[in-house]
Amino acid sequence: METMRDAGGMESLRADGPAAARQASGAEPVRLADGPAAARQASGTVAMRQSAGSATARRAGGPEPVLQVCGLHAAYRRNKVLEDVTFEVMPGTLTAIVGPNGAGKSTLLKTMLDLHPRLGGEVRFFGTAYRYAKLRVGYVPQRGSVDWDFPTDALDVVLMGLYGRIGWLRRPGRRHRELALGALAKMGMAEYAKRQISELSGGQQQRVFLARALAQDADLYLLDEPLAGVDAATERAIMEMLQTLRAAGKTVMVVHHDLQTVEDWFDHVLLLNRTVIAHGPTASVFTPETVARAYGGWLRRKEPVTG
Amino acid sequence: MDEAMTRRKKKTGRAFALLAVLLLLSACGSGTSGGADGNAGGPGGGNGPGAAGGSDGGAGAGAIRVVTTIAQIAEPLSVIGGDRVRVESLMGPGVDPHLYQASQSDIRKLGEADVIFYNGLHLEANMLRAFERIGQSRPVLAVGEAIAEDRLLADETGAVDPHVWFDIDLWKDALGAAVEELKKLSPDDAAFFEANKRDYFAKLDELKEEAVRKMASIPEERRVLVTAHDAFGYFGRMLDLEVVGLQGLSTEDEIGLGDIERTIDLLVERRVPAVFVESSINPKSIEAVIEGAKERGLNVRLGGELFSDAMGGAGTEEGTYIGMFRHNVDTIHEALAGEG
Amino acid sequence: MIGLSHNALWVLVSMLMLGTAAGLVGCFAYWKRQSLMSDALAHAALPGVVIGYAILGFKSLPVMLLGAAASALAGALAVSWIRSSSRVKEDTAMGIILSVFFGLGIMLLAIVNRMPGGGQSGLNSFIFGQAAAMVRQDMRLMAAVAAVVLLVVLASFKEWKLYLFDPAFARGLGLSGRLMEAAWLALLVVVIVIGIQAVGVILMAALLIIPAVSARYWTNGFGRMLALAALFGGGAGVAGTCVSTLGDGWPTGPFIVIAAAGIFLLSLVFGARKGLLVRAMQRRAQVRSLQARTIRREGEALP
Repeated sequence: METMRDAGGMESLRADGPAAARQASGAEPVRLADGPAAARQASGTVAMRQSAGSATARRAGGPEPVLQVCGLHAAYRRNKVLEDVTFEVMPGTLTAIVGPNGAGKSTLLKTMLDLHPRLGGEVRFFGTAYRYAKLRVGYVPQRGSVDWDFPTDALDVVLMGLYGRIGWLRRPGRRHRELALGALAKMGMAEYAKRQISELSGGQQQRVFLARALAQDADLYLLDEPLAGVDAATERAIMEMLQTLRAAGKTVMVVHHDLQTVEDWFDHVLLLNRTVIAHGPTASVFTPETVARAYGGWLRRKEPVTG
Repeated sequence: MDEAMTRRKKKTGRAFALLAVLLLLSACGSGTSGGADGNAGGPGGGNGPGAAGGSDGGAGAGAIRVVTTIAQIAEPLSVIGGDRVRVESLMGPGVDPHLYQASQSDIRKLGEADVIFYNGLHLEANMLRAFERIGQSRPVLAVGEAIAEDRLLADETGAVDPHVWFDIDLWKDALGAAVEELKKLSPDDAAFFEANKRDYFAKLDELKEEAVRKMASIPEERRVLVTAHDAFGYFGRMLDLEVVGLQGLSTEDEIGLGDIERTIDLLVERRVPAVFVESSINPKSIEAVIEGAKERGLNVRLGGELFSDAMGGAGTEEGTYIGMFRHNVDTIHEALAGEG
Repeated sequence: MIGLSHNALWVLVSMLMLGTAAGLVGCFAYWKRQSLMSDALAHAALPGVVIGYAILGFKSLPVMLLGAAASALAGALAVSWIRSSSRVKEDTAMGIILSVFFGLGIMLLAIVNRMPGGGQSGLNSFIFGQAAAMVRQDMRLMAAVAAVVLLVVLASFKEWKLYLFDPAFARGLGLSGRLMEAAWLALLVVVIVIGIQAVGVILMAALLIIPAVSARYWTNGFGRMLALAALFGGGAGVAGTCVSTLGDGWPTGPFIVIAAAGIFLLSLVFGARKGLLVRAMQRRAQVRSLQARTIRREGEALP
């Protein structure tokens, strides 16, 4: 079990991890299609135990789910935004969360991360509650959730990703700075390290955000609309980085707004419209029928791509 | 479920609106004035010497209803007027007339009075408009302005010092003018008023003699009266005391560092043993003076509390004009004439 | 110090400490977009002061300050309750709390001022402050408050930076939003409650808002902005106090605010980062370089 360090100081996983993960992720989620249905008949916690049971069964043979959501409910003001959301995510997957506006995609992320009050249900990260797994989960909020006029530079923002490791009462050291610089370099932003974030373009800001997430070196990444309003070059840079992460065995979930590019980038998709419409490998789950069900006739019909 | 909630919200909204309207109506229409406002000092509590049956409520039918601002006017008038008047003052003990604003119940009282007396000379600075309005329908007299102008004091800027009740002779003039007004309202009682007035003024003369005597016994160099407020100009003139106040004539001014420092300089220079606070002034400024003087080696005592703009509580000795005056004299005398 | 009386020294140091603390806390308010909150809470403290006196019947400074703190906190709670349970926006909620609480305070003052001994309590001085009457004890108290604020800011400097910039991400790292919010409110309320004795309820907000805003014009670094705001706040305190000693009966509090405003004007015009002058110069330089390039290009284009 060797860990290797590349130039950026990031550890890549054991050599046997990713392959096994990919194998497992290929098969498991499809079977889960009837798992959650059975769970919905029983109570929430019983369902959890059931899933845990299947997880134990899987542990014998393969990896455990990185994220388990069961019967999640949430509301915003008076409206029910999430209703009985249940799914499991296996390691080494790159999942797109899609759905119409107001479908609860952002709320799903926030509720899982205890940023939004949960009305019911259970969420498990790496088999435990979120607060015990915080260091393994990297969250990239929406770009608009932050005031980019704040007086700080790009390197400083990336350093914030390391605060969990630096600890209270300590200042970032040279090693941390190098780590941060490395993360910036991975996103092609090395020469912008000392630039004020107010002077960055939308795409550059998004790259800085992603660099911050990279610096966290988490195992599960949750990104909220990272491709919104960015230029094509940035979009490619980001998606390539996410795919690199997946190749290294990390798990990535992305709230995605562009249906057209789901098949290009993501191996899994979660169709959400207040509840889970469908979840699984893109190839099998992302069909015009499921999309239509999710969007309820909102969209222009998308022609199936030949070839 | 949403419909039910909106319906409930509308109902609670309407209930609140109804409640608000009811409250407004009751506030506007309330006929009784609260016991706590304004007239706790009241008409001298009826304890002035010679006021037999009390001067409020118990006065006979046809008693003149007199409303004054400060008790320094009300109490003597209740003594002089006896049971022929019913006197009430708007500002009770501890109230600052410079800052006082008339409330709804005050306006009502003014409206129900037969005659209104106030000090004038800009003492009741915030009530002048109310007096103008009331003056159109009933007699309103500024007793302080009945005093000859050349006997009034003024500061460097030319503002007139309104605290005229501290000069007994001047106050006799003021009260006399008020009594004349009473005589006009009730000519039958003129003789009664005149006799009482003469008795009362005799007592005032005794008071003045006593005060002059006591002050004279204080060694010359220590005859400095330092307080938070320039209310004692006439007091000092009458009794040959040098008066130093920390603020201007009105308590509306905020105190400045320069004022505090000048006062400390004076205290240290003259080695004054005591300074005084008043019932209606914030004592923090005086405390700053005392501490500053201590740094310069002078141990100044807090000489005691003086009555400046207001008098004491109703029913007490200090709640009467004579009692209040005597209290001031005794307090100052004790502090300054005492140990050196 | 030469020529300064003890009283002047006490006032000077008190105002220096207060200005420093207010500058620091004001920076946090600025970046939380809650500058109006400082004003709202300062005004909301008034009824607490009056109630603190009325309950006891005599003036006790600790009790009145506690009352001020309690009613300021009640105001803060009311603001967040309004925000969370209705569609009313934050600045509107703050405006409501500011006026309602302040009005309540004025009304209570009117009632108390009619009670015997009401004026004695010096309650009115909480509205405009009595900076000139600071004594050694006040100086020590303000120094202690400034020290506490400085300690809290420095000890958790990067945590504050993270919390102010991206609170959602901060939660993800394990930084409790509620803890930071409570700490921030506590600092704000303490500074307000200590400060209103000196500059009064109405002017306290100026000390909290102006130095922080002025600092923004000089720097692009968060830490430097904090330092500058502290400097400007303390400087305004000192300058205002000195000016107020020059004249007869000049009140100290308002002069401190004027000094702060003066610093703001200077920053607005001459600020190194965002000042009007600097911007104008930059623009002129850009235009000139553009003209130079155009001329060169035209020159090259000519055969």
